[in-house]
Amino acid sequence: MNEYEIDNENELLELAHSLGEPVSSRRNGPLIDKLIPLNPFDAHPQSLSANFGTTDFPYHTDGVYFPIPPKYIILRYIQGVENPTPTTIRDLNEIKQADKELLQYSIWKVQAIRTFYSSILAQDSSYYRFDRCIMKPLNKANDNSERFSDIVLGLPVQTINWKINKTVVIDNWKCLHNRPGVKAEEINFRTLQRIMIL
Amino acid sequence: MIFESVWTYDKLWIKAKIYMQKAFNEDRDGDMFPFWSAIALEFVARSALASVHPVLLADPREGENILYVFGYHKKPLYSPVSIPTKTVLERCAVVIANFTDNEKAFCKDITTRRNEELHSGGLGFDSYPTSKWLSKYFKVIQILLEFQEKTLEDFLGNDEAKAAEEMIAKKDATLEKTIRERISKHKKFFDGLKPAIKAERIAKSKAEKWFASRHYRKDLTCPACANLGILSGKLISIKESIAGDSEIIQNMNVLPTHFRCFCCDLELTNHSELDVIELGGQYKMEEIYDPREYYEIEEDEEPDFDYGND
Repeated sequence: MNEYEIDNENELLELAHSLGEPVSSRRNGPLIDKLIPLNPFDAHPQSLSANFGTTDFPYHTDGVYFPIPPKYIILRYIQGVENPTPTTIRDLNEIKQADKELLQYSIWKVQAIRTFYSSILAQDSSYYRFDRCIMKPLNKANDNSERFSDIVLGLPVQTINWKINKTVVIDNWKCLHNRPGVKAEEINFRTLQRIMIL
Repeated sequence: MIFESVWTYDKLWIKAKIYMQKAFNEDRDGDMFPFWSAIALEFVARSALASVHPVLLADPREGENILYVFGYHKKPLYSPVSIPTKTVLERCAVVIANFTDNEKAFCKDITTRRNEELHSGGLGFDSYPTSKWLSKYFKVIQILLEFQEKTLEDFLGNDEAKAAEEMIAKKDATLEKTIRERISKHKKFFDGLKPAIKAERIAKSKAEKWFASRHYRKDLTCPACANLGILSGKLISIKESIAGDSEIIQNMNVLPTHFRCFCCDLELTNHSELDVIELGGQYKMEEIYDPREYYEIEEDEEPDFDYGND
């Protein structure tokens, strides 16, 4: 994970382009997303907020619905309270080989414009893909979510303590991230900008 | 040992040359010259497909033929079955841009004669002088060879290739003359019409153009009367689609094979006729799809997928 201090969107976009091909997270959506904690009834009906509101977001990969998930995610904190809720990251490089084989073996159905099958760890081990909101195991025999959850929660936590203009680049192929439940005063206020990069 | 199927490019290419040499050893006026030539043509068509992949020659009705191409056999002595010539020609029409219905029809005709000669008591190549078929034969061979990056010299040898090229050029010149005369006739016809009738034809042509059912059509100025006619053709390839703001754009490459003008009634019915008057160049067609239509999303299904990690 790399950290920067960026005080304008042009520089943010420059950074994005230097890393690869920036892409909108939704069809017809903007390149720079605004991530704001919302109550489920205020949120986009197909979003993490619609599922989890202002409580803990589970660990996930961003953009699992792309044929290959975005390689990097850039997050920039632009508005919020003092001592804001951090973002936390788990580095999946630390997973043991035997567990990796399990994650490559089991099959999940990924909801997308055209639903497709995938494993959590790509067959060539180049990336992980996991988001329980739109991924379902093919059947019970393929449901290794509990094991995966144990593995992830057993990995060391990296914490991103936000301050205005702090910008981080997350390796979305090799890390899962989450946003813990936010404080009441952060609802409709705490704002992160995000760019997905293929 | 590395496995090689009997349909590899080199094997078929060599056999094509062997049969062509057999043909050249025959009397040009005799029945056996077109007979061996027909067999050579079939091998050139098969080698063209093999140059893409030998599996294009495997008979798909029996799965073992597909496995065979890749060196897998259920039985130690397996006799693979290839697709019939008719299917070879159908596949060539899909795979080779300039192999149009016109070339396919010629090949079917000579194949039918070959079948009659081989499988019946009839005389397939009786009354089939070279003037009827040879220049067309070389033209078709040239198209099939170009696809496999070979030349007439590679296939026929220098001397025969020179003669074949002359025949092709002469045939093209003759065809050009015929087409120019046809254009001139239709121009005269249109110019001779009374202004009111001309205007009526032009107005009517718009409706006729609208209803004309043609594949990959586009408007083209008529070489005879200068009004707009319809050019249509054969799909060669589809480029990767591009996502626009709210639509998906698909670009296709098309080989023109037909032109029709509803004002002067000029009709050019195949690629060769268009090509000799320089209207045979490939063109691009753009089709715009609604994303729902492109991805075949049913209206009654769940709401559009529009998930985001926010």
